Amino acid sequence: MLSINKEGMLLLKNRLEEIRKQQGVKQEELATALEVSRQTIGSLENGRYNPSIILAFKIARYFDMPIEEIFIYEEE
Amino acid sequence: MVKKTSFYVFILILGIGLIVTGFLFRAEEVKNISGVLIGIGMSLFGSSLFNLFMKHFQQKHPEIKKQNEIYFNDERNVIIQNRSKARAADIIQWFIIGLAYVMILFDYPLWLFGITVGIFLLYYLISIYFAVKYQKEM
Repeated sequence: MLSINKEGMLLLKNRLEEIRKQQGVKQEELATALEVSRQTIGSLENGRYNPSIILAFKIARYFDMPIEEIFIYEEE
Repeated sequence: MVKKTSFYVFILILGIGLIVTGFLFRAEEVKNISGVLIGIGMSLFGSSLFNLFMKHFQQKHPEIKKQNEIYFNDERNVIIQNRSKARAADIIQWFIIGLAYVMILFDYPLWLFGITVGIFLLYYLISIYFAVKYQKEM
């Protein structure tokens, strides 16, 4: 099931929280490394915000994983 | 946004200059202009002094400076700020047109009504200008 926000924007599912916790990284540490606010990490993990493609790449590089393993795009 | 120190020093001097000029020319016939000069000078003086203090504070606390930069450049914050500004501008335009109707209702002078409608149209022209500009850029 796809989730859509109030503006009609499709929200991506992601495994960010799961991967971050697996690797023992705190939200603050990840935010500092990616140069974003901790609130942005929280919103990403809650699926309330889609990252820019640049931020998605930064996250993938930080965890040394392909983007598709972190962000899941499912067509209906 | 925090700019270079020289910029704020320039604004500070400009503010002082305007305040001094405002106090020097206080003749009855230029009283209003003098008041405006003092007002603008005070606001320039105050804002530049605040920004200089902030720069000095951030130089002493680089970790706070870094945190502020992250917060300011954070992509989600930028989107939130831009979206709120756009929403606020949309709401204000309806207030302006509402004001124009109130002016008709209370028989205000036609030129005042004209200015209000002009501001409403200006909003549309500016938004069309930026839409075209961004269409070309993106």
